[in-house]
Amino acid sequence: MIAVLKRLWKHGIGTIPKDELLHVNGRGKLLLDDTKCTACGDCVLECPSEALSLRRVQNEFDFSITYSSCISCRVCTEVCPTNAFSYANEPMPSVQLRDELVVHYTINRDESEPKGEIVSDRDRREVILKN
Amino acid sequence: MKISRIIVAPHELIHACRTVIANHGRFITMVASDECGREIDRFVVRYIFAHDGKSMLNVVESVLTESNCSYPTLSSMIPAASWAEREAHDLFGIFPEGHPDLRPLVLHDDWPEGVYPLRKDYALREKQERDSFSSWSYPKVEGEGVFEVPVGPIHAGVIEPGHFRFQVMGDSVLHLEAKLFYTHRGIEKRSEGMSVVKGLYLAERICGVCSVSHALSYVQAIEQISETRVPERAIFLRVLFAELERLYNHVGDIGNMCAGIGYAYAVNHGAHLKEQLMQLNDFIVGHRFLRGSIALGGVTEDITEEKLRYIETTLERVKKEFNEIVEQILSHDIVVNRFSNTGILSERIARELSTVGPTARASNYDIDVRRDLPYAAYDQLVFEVPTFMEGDVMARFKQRFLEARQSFQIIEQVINRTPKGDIRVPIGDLIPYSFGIGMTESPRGENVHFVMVGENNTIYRYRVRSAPYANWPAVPICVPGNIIPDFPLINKSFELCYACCDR
Ligand code: SF4
Ligand code: SF4
Repeated sequence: MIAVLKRLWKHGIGTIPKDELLHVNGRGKLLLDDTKCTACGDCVLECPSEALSLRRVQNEFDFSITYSSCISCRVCTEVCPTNAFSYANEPMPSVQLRDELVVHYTINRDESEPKGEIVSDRDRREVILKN
Repeated sequence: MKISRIIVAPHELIHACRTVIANHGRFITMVASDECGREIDRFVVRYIFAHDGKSMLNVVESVLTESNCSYPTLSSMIPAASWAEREAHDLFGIFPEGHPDLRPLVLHDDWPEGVYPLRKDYALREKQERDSFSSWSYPKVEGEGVFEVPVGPIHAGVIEPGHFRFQVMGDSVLHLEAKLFYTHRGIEKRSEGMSVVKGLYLAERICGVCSVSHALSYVQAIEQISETRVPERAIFLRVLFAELERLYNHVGDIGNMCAGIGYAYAVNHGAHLKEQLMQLNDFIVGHRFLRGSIALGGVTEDITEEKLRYIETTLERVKKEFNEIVEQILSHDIVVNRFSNTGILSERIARELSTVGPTARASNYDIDVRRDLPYAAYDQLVFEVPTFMEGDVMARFKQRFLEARQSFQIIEQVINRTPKGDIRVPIGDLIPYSFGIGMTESPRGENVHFVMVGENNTIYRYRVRSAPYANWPAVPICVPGNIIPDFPLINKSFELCYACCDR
């Protein structure tokens, strides 16, 4: 009984002190190194939660990451042939509007041979491979 | 691990399996597959046996033609094969002749007859009209004063779905019938054609709390096919992740078992410790359930010296508190009263149903993959496998406690002995249509993955026999003779997961 009371006195009914809470929030924010990416589209096709998209805009590619969809699973990191992804040591951003959670990168690769235009349509949840 | 294959005609299956068992083979599971794509007519059944201590598996295979897809059942000789044969009957339409109980298992009664989703000609997203008027048939106890109590599939707490029918006389349970597979997600079908790289991420998500173990079983199967030698540092780190997973599960379960008798103090303090361990996981690999830590050919994340020291100090603290809490729980009269002699699983049934993990070890069935068929770095580490004779809830409680203490010791050894070096190598070539079998000891017991690869590094057939799949059949056997309020306690003492049983 005394041992139980002592424990309750020390820890409450099971609380963790504030300063010991959550060192980091998960794996961190997904980043793309746009100098490495060749716009091959592998990651877009494999991402299980449609968080990536790649669109051709004239001679360039617009690559976007939607943080509200990303589950930090690492699939893109594993399939990318050029190791273009990394994780920042900071939590996933949180904002009020979903659209603010999208970052865009412009990929300009003359030598790249993309598999076609790959559009990840978030609303229809499917990946369309054109050409 | 060596795999030796024995290929026989269907009518010789019984004889071949009897010979393997006589040579001390331990039945693990049966894997059926539809291999029409590779010019085999058409189904293959594979019975897998382990030779503990020899690091060897026996696979007894037989081909069943499409015109005559029946084979003699092994369930009367090996009761543990019953579920696997019923599952193959549901999903492939192959018929085990003489099987004592061929009621639907995985697909339930509302699934249309003659539709077999795991056959290769069944499209992935094909939908079926369900027959909502079909009823479930099951054995019952009837008579004056006998009542039936249905429970689930939706439960009062935040737990997974399972349906139970109790036939009771007063408070005592006379018979229990369990209906599972409500969370059958078709993971095995989904994986077919998936690249082996992405398959790993599917494997990690089969179960919420055994992610490392599932991932490890999967990568071991692939590494076996490709004959990859994983670097020394990586295999030690794999042990570290696997043991951290065991720890947070066992520590949480110890507290959670007390929820079965409404002992809130222990539940909360168990959860408090579990939370600290999960935050430790988050700190070292960036995921509370350690997902994304295992990679094909090694591990994804190196653990720096500073992190190792942090693990050491955290575990030191958790260990002290854990001992303290368990001592307090076990000194409580009501706990001892309710835990002892409740839900007894006899050694004979534990062996016949090939149960695994803490469940088996609490019933004096001494098996542990880490020791018997060592993987990763377990053969270089010193640890004990605690066993108990009683087979009741108390034995399962104490078994988990002692096993968790061993985990603390294993992690200590890993921290002091992990060699320097690479953490990952690229995997070798995968020869199409070869298979591998990965086995690990998850917190709930032996976890077996059978992976057959197809062309272009894709998965051709994937079969998962998780630990709960082996242990679930034992639960309804333990309950009769106890009172209904003991059922939650017995169920929690097995701590079985529904999702990785149902897949
Ligand atoms: S981490 Fe996973 S969910 Fe996020 S972008 Fe990459 S593949 Fe998609
Ligand atoms: S897989 Fe890598 S190289 Fe290809 S599009 Fe994605 S980030 Fe770019």
